[in-house]
Amino acid sequence: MAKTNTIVQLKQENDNERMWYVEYWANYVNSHTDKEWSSQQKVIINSQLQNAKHYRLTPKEYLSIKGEKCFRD
Amino acid sequence: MQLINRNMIILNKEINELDKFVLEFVDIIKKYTNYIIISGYVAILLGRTRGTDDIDMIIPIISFESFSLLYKELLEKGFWSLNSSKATDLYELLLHRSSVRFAMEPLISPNMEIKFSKNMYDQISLKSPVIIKLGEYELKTSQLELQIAYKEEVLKSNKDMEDAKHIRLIGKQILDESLIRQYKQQLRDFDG
Repeated sequence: MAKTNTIVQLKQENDNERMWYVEYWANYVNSHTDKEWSSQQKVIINSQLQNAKHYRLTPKEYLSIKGEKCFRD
Repeated sequence: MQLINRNMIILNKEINELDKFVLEFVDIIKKYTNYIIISGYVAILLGRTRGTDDIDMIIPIISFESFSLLYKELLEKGFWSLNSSKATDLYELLLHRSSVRFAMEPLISPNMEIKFSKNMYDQISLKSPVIIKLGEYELKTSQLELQIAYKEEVLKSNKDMEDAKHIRLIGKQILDESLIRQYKQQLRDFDG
């Protein structure tokens, strides 16, 4: 029971931290120019897309994860 | 970011690779049909710092002939559908309320997840979109109030709740809180 409580507590703390960051970043976006926030956003998003290029999933495997139909082999 | 009113937002942002993918796709689809982009990508477009592997798009139900022409041009411009190589398969999926996904061949991600309009919310959104201007480009999305209500009332995952909070904070000057409440009530009734 104590272990379960700890996991629930850790999850709650993680959720709170994530929400705090959402608020922090939204305030940053609101108080800076589009060029300023978007140049930082661009680094993160481009890097994630670059990593995604190394996915080895086939369309069938990807759509299976999503629970969607695939007619490809 | 200029929040002109509830139907117009002007962004002067640096275009990232995800934006480029969306703009290239929209450049093709708008020749064949109306569209709206909804959900996660809208939060990202408005500044959220998170990636996504798919972008949600709704289009009105179009004829097979129009869809075939659209599909032909998508293939010519380097896209492929993850679901099938045949236009007939893809059209059948759309008619059965499933989505079809397009990415730049041979990639899987990012992909555009397209669905035919299926309810009154989609129809209203297609008829009265919010325009997001990005320099010489523009993208159409649905009312931010509806997107917030849907994320907070229907989807409810951490990611969706965070997106909703971000949109609330970014759009606070123009958002109609009573409309969000109204949409939430409608969505509860719709579900029941």
